[in-house]
Amino acid sequence: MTEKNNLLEKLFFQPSKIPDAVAEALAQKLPEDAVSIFAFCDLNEQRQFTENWLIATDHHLVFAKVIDGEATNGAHISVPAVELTEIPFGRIRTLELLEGFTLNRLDVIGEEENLLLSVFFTRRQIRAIGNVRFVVEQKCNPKTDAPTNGTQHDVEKPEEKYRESVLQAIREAKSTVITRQQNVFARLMSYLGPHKKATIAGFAASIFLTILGLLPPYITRVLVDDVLQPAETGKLADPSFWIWVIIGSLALVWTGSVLMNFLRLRLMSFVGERIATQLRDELYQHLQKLSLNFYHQRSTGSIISRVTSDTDRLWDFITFGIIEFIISLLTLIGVAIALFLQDVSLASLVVIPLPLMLYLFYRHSSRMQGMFLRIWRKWSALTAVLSDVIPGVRVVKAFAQEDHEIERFSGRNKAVREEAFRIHRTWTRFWPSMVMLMHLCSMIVWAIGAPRVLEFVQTGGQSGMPLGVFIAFSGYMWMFWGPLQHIGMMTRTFNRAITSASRVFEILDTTPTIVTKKDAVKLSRLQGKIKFRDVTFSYDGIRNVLKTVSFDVEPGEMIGLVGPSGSGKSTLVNLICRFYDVAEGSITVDGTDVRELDLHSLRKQIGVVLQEPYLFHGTIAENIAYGQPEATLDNIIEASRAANAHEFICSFPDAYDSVVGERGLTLSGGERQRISIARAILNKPRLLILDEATSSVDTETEKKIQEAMQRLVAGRTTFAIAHRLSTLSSANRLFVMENGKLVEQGTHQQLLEKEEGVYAKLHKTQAELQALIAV
Amino acid sequence: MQMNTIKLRRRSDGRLTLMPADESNGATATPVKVVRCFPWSLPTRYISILDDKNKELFLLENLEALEDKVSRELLINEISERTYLPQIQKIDAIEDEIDLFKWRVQTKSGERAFFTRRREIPREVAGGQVVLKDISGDRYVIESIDALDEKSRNWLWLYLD
Repeated sequence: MTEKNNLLEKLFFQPSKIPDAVAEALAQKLPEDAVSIFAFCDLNEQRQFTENWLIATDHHLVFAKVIDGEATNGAHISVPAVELTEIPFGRIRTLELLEGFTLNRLDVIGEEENLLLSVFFTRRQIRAIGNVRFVVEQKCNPKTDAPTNGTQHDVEKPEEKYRESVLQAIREAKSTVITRQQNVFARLMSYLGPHKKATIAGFAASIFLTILGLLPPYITRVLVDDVLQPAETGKLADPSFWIWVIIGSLALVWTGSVLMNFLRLRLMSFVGERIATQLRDELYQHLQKLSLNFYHQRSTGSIISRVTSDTDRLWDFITFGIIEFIISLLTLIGVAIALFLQDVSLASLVVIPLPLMLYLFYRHSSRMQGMFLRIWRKWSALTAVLSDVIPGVRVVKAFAQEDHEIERFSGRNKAVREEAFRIHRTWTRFWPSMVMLMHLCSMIVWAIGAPRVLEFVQTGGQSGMPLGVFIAFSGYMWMFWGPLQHIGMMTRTFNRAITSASRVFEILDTTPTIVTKKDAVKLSRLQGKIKFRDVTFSYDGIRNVLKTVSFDVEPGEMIGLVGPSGSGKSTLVNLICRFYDVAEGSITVDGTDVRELDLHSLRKQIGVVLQEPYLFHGTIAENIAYGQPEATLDNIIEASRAANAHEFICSFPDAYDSVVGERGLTLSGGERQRISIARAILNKPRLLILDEATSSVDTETEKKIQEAMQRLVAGRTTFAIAHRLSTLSSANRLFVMENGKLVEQGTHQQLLEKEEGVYAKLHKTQAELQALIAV
Repeated sequence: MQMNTIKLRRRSDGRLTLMPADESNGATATPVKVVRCFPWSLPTRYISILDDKNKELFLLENLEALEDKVSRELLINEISERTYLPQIQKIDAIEDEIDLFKWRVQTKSGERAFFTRRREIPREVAGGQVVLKDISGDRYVIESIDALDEKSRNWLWLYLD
């Protein structure tokens, strides 16, 4: 909780609440007033970053200017001085926001057209400032927006509102706001749990593999020191038998390590694949459960990449990353031990340059990472040209700009080449120098070891180093480099895996906001009686998109919703589907609150036809039967006839078997619309929602769709949103929405009779427009 | 009324207003907004003066040609406030935060931390300035990359150009 509250400080170095000094000054000056809402003003008139506050209390708008106080009387604590400017709401006439690139200004204008106050802030604060402005305007003019139940529009938890309004931008852009690396790693490892046996076997195989890998140099040593040399001096009976023993054990070691390597790769790649599949399934299942507001905040691309590339990266990490890290570490330790067992002084000499090598590998890996970052950027610039120009190739040709485009592409292509050259220059330089260094280390071993071997031979084994030890030593030396390289790259591998894992877990941790209650009522057959009681709804918790909307709709009634865009029509129908929950008031369907209903049983009986119908990849028949996969072919044709779609479908060569959707047959807007109507008809919904279903088609098609809709609407409760009033001619009643409120309702005739009414005006304008076209 | 003879004044509530050409017939001042048509390529040319309904009243082709000195200064002030950009003088760090880059910078206006989207490509404008846009829409400017210190340039090399 505290971590969450401190996010603003962590991310933006911005206070996450009003500082105590300001709160105290406020309490002193306005003891009666409680803070209602506040915002941070991070710029001043001199365009310097500062820490000022704009606060709305119960009766005042307060501007708190924080002046960094000098330490007084030699004390070390600096007490910031606070300068308060308070304006009673009664003196404020209006608030004006002037937006700029980065600097924005809110002017508080008084009753006599005089400027009472100007505050400055960056766009980061604009939401929070907007909230303050909204609340102040509400309090200044309580009559224009009648608050619910006569109480003031009070903001709950002002601190949370303030923090959320600033963090919103991050939430929209980024997957996670908080990352706790250790937790993410532990959680990722917990996925190995169900595959305990395979994992343990895989790890065991890796350990054996490491040990077996350490044996060959030792066997060589035995061959040289314990077989060949004694054989030369005749001390060993039956040397050829021992030679075969050695060859045999070498063969055993190699076979064993091939087997172990096979085991660990096979086991771990399967475990990795199982976990990746499980994560993908979990992700997709969870995505289907999540409410719409989750999708509003994220781009499709970012969600897709989590299900695909992030899980793939985790597969790679589980299969290779962890095990290779362990093998490298064990090998390093094993080789070091082996070296020390052979010869302590020479071993210490060899181990000394190890940290240096490790550092070099690490530095190389991070430098390459930087260069990969750059080339990735250049690549995406190159692909951007392609995805920009290829779809627009008609325009390029029409304006004869081929040469210009070739030049643009070739410029970016060159930039990619330059970066690639840089990368190649670096690695081609790095590897030979590393090999040089390795050779240098061997040369040191030779320079020190070889004379000692000579000494051993000359003294007849009294002092010095046996030849076998020397050979084994050289062998072990070369086993250092591989693991060193792996460990040097480890930070990068870990970081990538943790990043992917946190992106995946972030989705899994998002809880759906709209869920079916435990003891929910299952609707067997919806009658279609809809009742709104004082429904107030807001997407952000501040600005109400719907304000105390109340109405009753009888079963079978068709309601036309009209009003300017942004007046709340779509929000209203979204609430009937319970895509969101109301903030205040209630919505009942057949006498039961929608929040008490089983979500599935409710939505299954609602048919929705949208302005831009969505067809999935598949045949036309499959698309029509989307909500009713068990529908018979007769049903499908019947529904298509009712939707005026049968004839045009039959005109396609593949008729109902035509594949549509992405990479399929291209259909016109009207055709798609009619298919989606057929889909709705087949679903036999009890409640129908038509959201601007005919606004993007030509008149002829609209007529056909109208006919289809007449059939669809018959006997069903229907809400139809439309801009063209003619579309709603068959509506029983019209609801006119304006600014989140239901301002008029009645039949077409009744509404026309109100001369100054919103609907009457709307109707007049559209009629005039029609006349204009007729001329 | 001639374009170059228009008069602008600040009203008591702080708003910039366009004075009527002839005050005798009771015409009043109109509150206006000022927009640069080419904020990056031609900062002092083609200044559009709009009323509150975004209807263009005048298109001033050249700010320098405006005859009334007070109006010219008011316009310059108004534009400079609308287009103010914190100037980045030093980059302390750029951190990779999954989908974002976190910048910690020293600007002419003080210290600042902000986030940019990974895919947001900074725009280079005429005169070699580089303009960055953060996730909230705030913009920052680097007047000249060459004038930055080496550490700052290294950060940019990694994450920017």
